[in-house]
Amino acid sequence: STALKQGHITPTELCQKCLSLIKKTKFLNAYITVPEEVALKQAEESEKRYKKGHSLGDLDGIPVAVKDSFSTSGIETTCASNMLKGYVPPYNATVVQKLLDKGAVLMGKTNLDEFAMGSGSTDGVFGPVKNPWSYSKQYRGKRKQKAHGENEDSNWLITGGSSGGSAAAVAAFTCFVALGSDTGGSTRNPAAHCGVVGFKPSYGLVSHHGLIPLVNSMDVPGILTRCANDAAIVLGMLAGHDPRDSTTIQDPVKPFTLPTLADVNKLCIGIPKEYLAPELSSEVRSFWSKAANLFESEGAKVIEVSLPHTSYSIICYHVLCTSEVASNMARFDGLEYGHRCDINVSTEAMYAATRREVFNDVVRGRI
Amino acid sequence: MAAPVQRWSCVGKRWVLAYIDGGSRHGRGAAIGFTSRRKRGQSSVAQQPLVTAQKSRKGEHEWAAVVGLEIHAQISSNSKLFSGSQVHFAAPPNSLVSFFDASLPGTLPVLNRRCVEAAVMTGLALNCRINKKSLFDRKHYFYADLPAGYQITQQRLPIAVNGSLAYSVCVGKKPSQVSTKTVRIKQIQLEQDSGKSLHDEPRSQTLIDLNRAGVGLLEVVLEPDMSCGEEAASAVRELQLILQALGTSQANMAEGQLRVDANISVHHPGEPLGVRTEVKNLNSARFLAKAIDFEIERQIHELENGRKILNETRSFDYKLGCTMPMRDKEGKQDYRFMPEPNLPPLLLHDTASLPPGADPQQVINIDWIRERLPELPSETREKLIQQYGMLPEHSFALLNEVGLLEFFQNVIKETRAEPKKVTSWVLNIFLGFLKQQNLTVNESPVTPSALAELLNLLDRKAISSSAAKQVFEELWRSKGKTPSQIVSEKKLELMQDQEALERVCHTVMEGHPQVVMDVKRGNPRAINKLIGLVRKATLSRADPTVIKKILERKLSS
Repeated sequence: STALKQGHITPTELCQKCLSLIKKTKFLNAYITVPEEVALKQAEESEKRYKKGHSLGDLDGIPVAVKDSFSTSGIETTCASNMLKGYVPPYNATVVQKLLDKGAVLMGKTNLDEFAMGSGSTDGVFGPVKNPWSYSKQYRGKRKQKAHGENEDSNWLITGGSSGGSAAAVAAFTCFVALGSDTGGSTRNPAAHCGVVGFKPSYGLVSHHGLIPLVNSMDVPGILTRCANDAAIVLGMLAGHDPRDSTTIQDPVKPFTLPTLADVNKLCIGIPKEYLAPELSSEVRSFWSKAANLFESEGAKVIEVSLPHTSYSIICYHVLCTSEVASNMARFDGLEYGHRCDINVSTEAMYAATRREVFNDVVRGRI
Repeated sequence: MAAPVQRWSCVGKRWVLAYIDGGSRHGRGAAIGFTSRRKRGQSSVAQQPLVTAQKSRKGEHEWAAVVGLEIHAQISSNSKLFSGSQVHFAAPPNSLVSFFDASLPGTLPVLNRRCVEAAVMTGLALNCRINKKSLFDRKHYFYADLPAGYQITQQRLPIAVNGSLAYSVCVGKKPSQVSTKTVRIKQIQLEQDSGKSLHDEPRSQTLIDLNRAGVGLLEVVLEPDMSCGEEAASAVRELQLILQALGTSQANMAEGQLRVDANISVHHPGEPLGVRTEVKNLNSARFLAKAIDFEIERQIHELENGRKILNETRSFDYKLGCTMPMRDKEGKQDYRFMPEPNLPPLLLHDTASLPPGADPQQVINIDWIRERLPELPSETREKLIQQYGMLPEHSFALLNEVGLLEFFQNVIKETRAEPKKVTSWVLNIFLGFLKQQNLTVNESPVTPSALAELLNLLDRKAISSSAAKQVFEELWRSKGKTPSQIVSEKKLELMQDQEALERVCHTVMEGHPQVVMDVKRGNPRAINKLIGLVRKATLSRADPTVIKKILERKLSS
């Protein structure tokens, strides 16, 4: 944004660069919809503002991407499901509207697991998202040493999910900020897989109005960026009470500023002992302790803590998830919007066939 | 359960005071008068002689009916319970539908403050305990006019509980024999209305209108403390008046703003309650009474013939006057209730619990609402009785017609006539004209001031009461004229001119010597004939008592 302010690059140029990158990285399958003309128009508007010196702030002219489970006015929103193929919402999700109000340029809607149910970004109807790092020199090199002659098509890594498209979009430099959603790790997990910052704000801080729900009582819009400072800036713009979402807190939000982390001396880092699950792979475990050692060697205090309710979390998650999913999916009956089958013997038969035709096994399993 | 036990067979004599539909109440007794000692002995029963014998003895017992009600009242509000779309009856189909009402994915409910206030007001008026914390739940079922696949309601913790509703039923033959009864109110809950399905049979299509989807409803659950259709109808009528007085619902049954489901069972007093049936979607008080009475009769008949009552949902066919099982609601539904995750608990305050510095727009103070409750119908009736010495049944009649009380009060304000006279005119003549022409009070061509002026003329004996009726008819016909104008145009004023009246009397006496002779011979009724003749000669403009005096003087001279 400094570059934009100083005129080193114009929003339109930036937008075009990102668009061409999106085209170049099409094989990643990060995007479902790329509304090129809309994006260029938004960039043009932004450029006009810069010329007049009326920039809307840090986000003005910045290319962003949004997970395809956020409603975007006039732009198809599919949730990577046949159920919503062709569904064009008539309104913007609050977080999308807030980004646009700050001048952000919407590059596209990113891929996900169908209805955000998954943690691999492999279960959407548009196919899996491929991790940009699969194509890095280091990884290619490793692969070549390990296994020769493997099928090039299976020679890629997953992004994690369900916001894998958003993570891949940020990691591939096709945008600067992407919105994901996080219910049980759907933002943080792909961010970790793709080496970007993934942030799940506390429930109630950011409005989920317009986010097509997975589990209402845990869904939170997530932020994916290239660095923590960017995440803080975006959070500052998205946070706050939304009259359309009764679960957002009413208290005014204080602006977020990240302390400059020159010194980790004063940090105290807890390591929950319950997280040291036996299922953890040795590779992850060694990276974990490596990070802890790194902090400790720089002077931070690293202690063991206990989160005794951890063992209940999966059970609670599954009870809430399955029951709320069954409830939230009830509206997808083919009547008001979305897919409708050809069967018209009775309303009940139509419901059943419509839903059987378009929900995948994961979705149907959870219902 | 403290269900009152009542001899079912006495119902025919009962007469409901808060009456339901003009004219329909007479002769109904005969229709529903029911004898519990029926003749049995159809073939199916005869095959089981033992059982039949037992039943026969049971049949000698009295039957008691137990009736509970679930009432849905549409909240009178500008917008829906959880969305900003407007609430209007008979708007073009699907013209009042927000994204939330159409259940577009990602939309969220936002509670309407007005609906909460309406629920609190209604709860207070019905002597309920208001829960300072209440919760919203989802009730799931698939139906085309329920776009989200669930209804948001208050299943676990409703907004108001444990209330009561007092209503009056006439117990004797005279309308003045009023008995006040009480039905307990289990709870009042806030919930969403559904849309409407219109079935186009010839094209085998179903059309959906979502205008009603999401309108706020108050579900009022009445405990099974009633024992017949008339009691249920009176309780509903009283509730309707209360809702209208509060302004929390227009409660017009014909427009579906008040819908009643009745739970009915019969048993022998002292024995456990019987299996109940539910009669759904009763949209007039008269049909409610009819449906309940039919259902009680049907259940007794079934049981006396050795059959069982099924726990089922039935509908009332008002054309045939009977209830029938509903096809599409067969089988027990699992509504899969679950907490509504998008709505935090609804918290209410009283003055004591009000957080300091709270934004009055963000909190609801129960005490504040309580202090501002309008006068309830029972209080209004009591006042009328105290203030004007009115008979209880007249106070009921005044409140039963929308706008009639206000009309009455406006007349009273502007007239010197006795309240009893005003009551009689308003309830007999004015209401009679309205009924005859099927008009509401608001549509009346006669204004309160016009009637007040007419009653003033009558009060100072400027016109006779028969002339007053003539003037009223004229007022009804020709809008805009004042009673005085009509009186002078039609020369209806009483003859104040004593001499002129004496001349008329004289002429009449001269013209009818035979009658005069009769009087003089001592026939007491003959003078009435003379009075009549004089009145005819004066075109009813003379006061009969004055005529009588003159005649008597002349005859005795």
